[in-house]
Amino acid sequence: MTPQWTEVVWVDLLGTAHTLLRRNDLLDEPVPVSRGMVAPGDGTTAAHARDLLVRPDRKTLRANAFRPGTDVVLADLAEVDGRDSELCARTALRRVLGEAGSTGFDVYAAVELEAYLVDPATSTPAYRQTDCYGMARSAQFENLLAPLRNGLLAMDIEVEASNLEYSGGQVEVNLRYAPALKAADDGVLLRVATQTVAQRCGLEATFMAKPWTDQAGSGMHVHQSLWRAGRNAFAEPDGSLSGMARSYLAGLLDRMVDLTLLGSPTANAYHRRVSGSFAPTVVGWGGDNRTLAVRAITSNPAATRLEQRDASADCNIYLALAGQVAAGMDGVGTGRIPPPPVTGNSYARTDLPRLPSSIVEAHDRFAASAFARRAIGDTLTQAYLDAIRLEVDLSLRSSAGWERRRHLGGSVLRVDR
Amino acid sequence: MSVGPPDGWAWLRQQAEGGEVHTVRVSFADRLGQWRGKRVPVSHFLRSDGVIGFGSGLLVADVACDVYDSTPFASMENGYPDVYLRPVAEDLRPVAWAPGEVYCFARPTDDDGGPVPVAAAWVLDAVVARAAATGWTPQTAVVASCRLWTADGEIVRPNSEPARDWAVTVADALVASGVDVTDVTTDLQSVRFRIGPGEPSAVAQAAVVAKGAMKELATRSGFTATFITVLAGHGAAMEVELPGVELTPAAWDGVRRRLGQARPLLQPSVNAIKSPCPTLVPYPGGVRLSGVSPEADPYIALALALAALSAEDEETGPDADAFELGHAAAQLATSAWVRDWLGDDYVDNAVPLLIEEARQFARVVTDWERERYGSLA
Repeated sequence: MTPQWTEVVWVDLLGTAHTLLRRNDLLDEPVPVSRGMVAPGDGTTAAHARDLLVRPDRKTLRANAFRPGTDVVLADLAEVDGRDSELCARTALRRVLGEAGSTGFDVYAAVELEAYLVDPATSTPAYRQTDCYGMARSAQFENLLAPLRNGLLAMDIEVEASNLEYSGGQVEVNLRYAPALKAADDGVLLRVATQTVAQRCGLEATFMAKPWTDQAGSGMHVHQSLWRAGRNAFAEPDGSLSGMARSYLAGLLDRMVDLTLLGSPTANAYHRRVSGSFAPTVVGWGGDNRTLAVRAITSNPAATRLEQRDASADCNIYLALAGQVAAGMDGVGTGRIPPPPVTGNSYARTDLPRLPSSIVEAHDRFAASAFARRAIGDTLTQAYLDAIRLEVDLSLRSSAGWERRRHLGGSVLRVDR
Repeated sequence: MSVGPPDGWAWLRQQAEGGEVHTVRVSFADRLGQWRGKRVPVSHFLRSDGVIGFGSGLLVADVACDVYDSTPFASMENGYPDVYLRPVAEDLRPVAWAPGEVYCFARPTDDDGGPVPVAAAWVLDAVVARAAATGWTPQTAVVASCRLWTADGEIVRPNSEPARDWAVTVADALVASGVDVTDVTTDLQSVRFRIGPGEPSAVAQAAVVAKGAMKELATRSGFTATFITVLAGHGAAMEVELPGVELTPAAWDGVRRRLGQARPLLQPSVNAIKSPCPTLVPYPGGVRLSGVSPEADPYIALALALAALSAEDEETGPDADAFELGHAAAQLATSAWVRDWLGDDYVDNAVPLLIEEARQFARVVTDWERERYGSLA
């Protein structure tokens, strides 16, 4: 009999998805993985050196449209004694959502991810000139995008649309909002599927935050709302923000600086967070304004929601959502009031709290945040910081092409062109 | 013009259930008449009525999709808020060259469903309504054209067999997609598709679809379709036909002056404006607006042709004599009749983009300059 296989998907602390093919009859037997693979920078002492177990969540099992004849399943991480691992980002999100649920609310979310299609021969974008929403140009990539959309739909991931984005080679696939854990799972599977399909078409796909200096960054906008008994608790009858939505919003804003690291976990991500980039640089909210950190989208009462816009497309989706939901629910729990909305160009504002502009700054704010530790747990916070410090160390040791161009020979003579 | 299915939603549902359609191209035309939009799975289209939002910057972006703070409609100052497309299912058409896809154009609207004044489809509607108020129900046709390049950058002779074969493929695909192509011609300069006559906005939309089909089907055949106006000394043009229109000699001078003032909208690039100024010329049975750049927006070309004929004010100012894009844009900014017919919002957003285009070119040193001035002592 031909063995049947399941692709088991789990993510490490920095959000990279890992997959393994497991024979179906062994699916309920957890698979050991190295702790260092989950949490780089952790596991340096004997006490932390034990393996973790990859434990499939059977509720997410479905046919894998991208590998016919196989199934796919999302997995949590467990300790070898069977306890939930405190290093599991998916478990952390589930816990935060459980706490929200205990107050009677379901959290719904949608993640909006951008990616670049890359020509592997040249390591450059798959096409050069920006052609945002260009129909004819996108037809060139329908051999990739149509199977991606249709495959995701077949896997119960509700795709709303796809389009070319704001730089040559950049694409976006919009997913419909869903219960927040499913929304995060959908985002992870979208990233995996995009890379799979791209490679089959002779391309690479990258969700890297800022692959090229002169091209737009790739972000992850998180749309979020609270629901009770099938009703959007964020909306007044006219669609405007409810008191609960405003408190949630206040929570998002209050914690945004401290939790920046969860949405932007690489040194590269901070090249995206600059003035004029449509990624926010200050803490502010308002109506339909793309320069802001949080947009209140109130054009349709059934779809009233908040959109936090700072995270990068390569973050750990579970952790980014866990941080944002925890912050929002903290605002609800404490009845916070948001500051007045910001109008106009927020990049020109010097009176608003500034978001971290480097990974070191974001690291230090996160490390000093008691709220972060409460939100995602002490162990996970510490392991995340360890992983980030390794990332910082590696980035500091690297020498960028820009630096070479600017400074090579610069101590002797520099000719400005 | 061809029409879509009488009950679009039911038809689409049936097509989806039968597996005939999987994707809807929810579409709009940008300010250069380029086909833009999102591909929406048919299941979501049916559930959501196909409504999509997108950043308003796309309506005031340049040819490279760059945006500028000098456009009042959308800028960093207002944060590029969303505009919306609300498709009408009766407008669905098959994309005959892409099995499983249908398309549906919609006019960009604001939050409340109101017209967005910088969207040329609305501008054309307003011009047609004004013409109708005078008792004129115009019928128009458009001749859309392009040239082909090979992957090596060589120009494909438009009357060569590969180009002619390709043109037949495009024409067949367009007709099967609801575009009323009546003639295909190839000459030394371009491949040309005549569309219409019909109601102006339907013809303009068909011209946008035709440009998109040319691009897509050229790529599929190993070519690149280009709409650049002047290439190797030859000019390509889009033409607007107005059957049944007669132009008296007395009216001629006013029309000529008006079109001169509108020139940068009809020739919207530093390359396009190297061509002679667009003008109306008679042909048996009507008049034709000739010399419009293939890069121009068909909606605006039609709107200007109709408005130039309809405007009754005497043009007493000097002729617009600019042959450089920035200068022409400055003259456009002061044109009372263009503002009257296209609207201040449209003009005030078009002019900064034209000036920025000219400014970008001004920063470039060309081969011609190097050749001409490089050897001066």
